[in-house]
Amino acid sequence: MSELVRVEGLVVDFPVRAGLLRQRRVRAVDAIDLRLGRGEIRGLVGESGCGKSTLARAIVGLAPPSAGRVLLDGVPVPARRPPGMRRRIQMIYQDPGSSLDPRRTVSQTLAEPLRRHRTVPAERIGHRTRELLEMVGLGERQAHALPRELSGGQRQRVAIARALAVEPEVLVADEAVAALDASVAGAVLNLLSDLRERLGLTVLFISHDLATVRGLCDRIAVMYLGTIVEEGPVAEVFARPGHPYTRVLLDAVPSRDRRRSGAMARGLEGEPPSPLRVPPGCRFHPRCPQAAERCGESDPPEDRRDGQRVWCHFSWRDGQPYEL
Amino acid sequence: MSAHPLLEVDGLRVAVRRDGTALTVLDGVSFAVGAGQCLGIVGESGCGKSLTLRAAMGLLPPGIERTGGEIRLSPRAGAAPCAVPPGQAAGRGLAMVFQDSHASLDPTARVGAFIADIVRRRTATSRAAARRRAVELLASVGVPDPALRFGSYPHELSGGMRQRVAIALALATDPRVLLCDEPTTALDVTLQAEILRLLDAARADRGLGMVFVSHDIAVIRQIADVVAVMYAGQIIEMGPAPDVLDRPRHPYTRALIDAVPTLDGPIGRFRPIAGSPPAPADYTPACRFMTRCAHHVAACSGPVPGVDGLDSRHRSSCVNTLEAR
Repeated sequence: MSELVRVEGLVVDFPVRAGLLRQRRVRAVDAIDLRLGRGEIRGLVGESGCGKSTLARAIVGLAPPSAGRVLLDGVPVPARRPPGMRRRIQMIYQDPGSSLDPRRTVSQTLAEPLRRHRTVPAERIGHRTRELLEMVGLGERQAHALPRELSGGQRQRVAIARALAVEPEVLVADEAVAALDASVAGAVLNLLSDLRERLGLTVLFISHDLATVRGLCDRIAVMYLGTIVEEGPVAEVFARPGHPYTRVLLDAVPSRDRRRSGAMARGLEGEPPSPLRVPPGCRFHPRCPQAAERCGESDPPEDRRDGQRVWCHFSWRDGQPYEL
Repeated sequence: MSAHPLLEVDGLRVAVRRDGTALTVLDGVSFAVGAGQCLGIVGESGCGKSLTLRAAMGLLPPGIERTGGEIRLSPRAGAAPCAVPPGQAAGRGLAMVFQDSHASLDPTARVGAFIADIVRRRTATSRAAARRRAVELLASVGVPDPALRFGSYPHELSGGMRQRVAIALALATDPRVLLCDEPTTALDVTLQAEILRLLDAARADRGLGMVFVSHDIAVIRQIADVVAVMYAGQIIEMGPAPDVLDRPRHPYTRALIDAVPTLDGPIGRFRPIAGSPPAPADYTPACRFMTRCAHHVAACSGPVPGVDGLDSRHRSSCVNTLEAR
């Protein structure tokens, strides 16, 4: 698979207020490297506040990087993206209710980017709009509807159609199905995977739901406090997670055979991490069930196994396959 | 466990009044919860699960009222439940934990003082004793440094910590039944696991009856002894959790289970349920799932009442149950 997106040493800082007049900077994304192959669906998981949305926004061009760069097809993306480059990476959000203009009909919403980016000649806009609707499984009936007249699943389909209007190569989906009922979410997820097949679309799928990532994605990256701690093919990472944090995340998911009576899943003790106080050494060590002395002293090395990469002093510590 | 259930909801009907007409949104919901028992209510958004809890608590929003059925609450340990009149808050004996912990806490009050205040109102103890009790409660829900956290404001706490405080607050009233409305939905999976453990421990240690509402069937599987599946304002299947979740009789329950991806299931396409639930204005006496159901027969168009779940035998409202086929 050829590489389409490459993130190199990406850093994103935000100013925060610290006291009355003092400002300090908080590092939401800290020197991240990530590659997306063409036509790949890549899952990005981690707890709230770990920086996954900030990473996504930096890739789309909505958060300026403080250091590092994003390459598209081997070409570095400039800080100010020309429209042609912006067009190639599109984003969809968790709540299509607030990302769609409530006063515009669906077809007006879809025509707007077609006009702005001059993707098709003016007389073809109506035709292209219908094509886009059909692509996401909507029909003529929804074309003249306002967002409030649509269900949550239909609104998310409109948001996807709008993103596709400019024929992007990469779609960044930030918790795109988190607000939908499971019965509806599946249809939107199937749509994403069909679009990948039909259009060769590359997708960065940000989610807190590991079971969904397992069902949809080819590869997964696990983020913790601004860094990636593990990444690799979904099958391998779920079958034998190399990082204790990945194991904790998997353990916390309620599962079929882990019913009550003492066997209830363990979560994590302690306060969730804050990028305002990044611990030295391995960032996960204060909450890690298997931390040793050296974890608090030095940065964890990268450890590789097949296509899987883990940043931990004790990756795959027991060497045993992990059992769900 | 005592012979009497702690909370009985019997044929509950709730309607929304609008422009002089009443739109029925809950239609004959019945269940009972005993000491130390957890009833899980699962269903899609808009099926009426949160409304059921609010009706039981006597916390229906303006314009929505109870139009039928009875809510009975055991007045003290071991006593038979008595009816709570409509429009009256159930008060003592019931407490509720919400999805949004901000909803339970006062943003202008220090969390410890707020809990101590509730304790004092309930038990008329001294200020010092109430304070000690509040610190104990905070410690019991796993708040680290409870004496220190006593002085925190809600906005100074993380989401998970705030939900712990909300649970401590609910327990401060010494309830016999705890109503939980999606208490872990806004939390990360790691925190969700901790809060579920905490609630389960509270149930076991205090012999609490618990009603736990969630759209997440995996969460329900983990915490509930008895499961009620709601669809379009009715309970359509109910019974012991392993029976309902492993051997569902209603096609809707089956479809709902299949729609949710799991960590251990086969990988393939997602299996959504086609169509969407009817709006309350379109509720009929017929099976409300019929139009989305692959197994519907002529009898489905006849009157199909919801499940009467006052005992915990496994039953479904489906006239053509999966088991019978």
